[in-house]
Amino acid sequence: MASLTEAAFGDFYRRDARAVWIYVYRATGNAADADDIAQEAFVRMLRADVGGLGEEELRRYVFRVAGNLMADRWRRSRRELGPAVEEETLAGDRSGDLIEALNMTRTFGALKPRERALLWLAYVEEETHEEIAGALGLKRGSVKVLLSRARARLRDLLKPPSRAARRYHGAAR
Amino acid sequence: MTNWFSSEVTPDDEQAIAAFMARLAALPAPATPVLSGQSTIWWKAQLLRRWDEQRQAVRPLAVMEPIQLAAGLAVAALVFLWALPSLTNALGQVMASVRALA
Repeated sequence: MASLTEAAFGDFYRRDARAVWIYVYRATGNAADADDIAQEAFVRMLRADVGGLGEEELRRYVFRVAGNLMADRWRRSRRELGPAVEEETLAGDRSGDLIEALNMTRTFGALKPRERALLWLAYVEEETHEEIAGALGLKRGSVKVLLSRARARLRDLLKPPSRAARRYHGAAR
Repeated sequence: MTNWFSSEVTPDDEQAIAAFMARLAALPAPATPVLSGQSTIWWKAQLLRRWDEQRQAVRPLAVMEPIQLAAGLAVAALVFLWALPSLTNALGQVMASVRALA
């Protein structure tokens, strides 16, 4: 870590810590997990030999570490839970924007954590399949398939409720 | 069969998904991050790096310890075997002297 000084790290952390936190938070749906994983990702980045990397590479590196930490947790727990935190924090205010935010969060929360992480990396971070594979410890071919499934699931969740309800009742019969 | 299980996403769906993700990314976070300050992270990492380095420096000693012990025991056994005839001889002489005195 020859070239990453404390001041340079400080700038990087101030600029990117929130983005990493939001990514982990949106994927795990849990603020405490997001706190732990985001911090651990930065600590691991500093412990590794990342001296030669540029800003963008460092950012990708931290996202990759965070993704791998999440994947480790998912593998360990084998249970993929949806978000509960947003429900508590947004429940107080019922203004239009917040209701929309809550609905969007619920829709996204209906996906599995790995699907959320895949979609976030693909659409928000605009990462390539290869980068996503590295970020989540997956094979490149698997990313294509899983991302396609995640897209299809989100598409279904975004359909009008009447159609979704019809589907639900059709499946229940 | 309905298109329920279809995983094909049309360009319109793709647009809707991209728009949804962009709006989601623009939302303010519903919870506040409780992240440590940059210097806490920095010093924690430095401390862990130092521990890593120490552990790496001490690793050969830790690896060598059982080898040293085994080598010491082997040498002791060899010395014992080498000295056994002399020891037996000396012990015999001592026993003979004791017997003579008795």
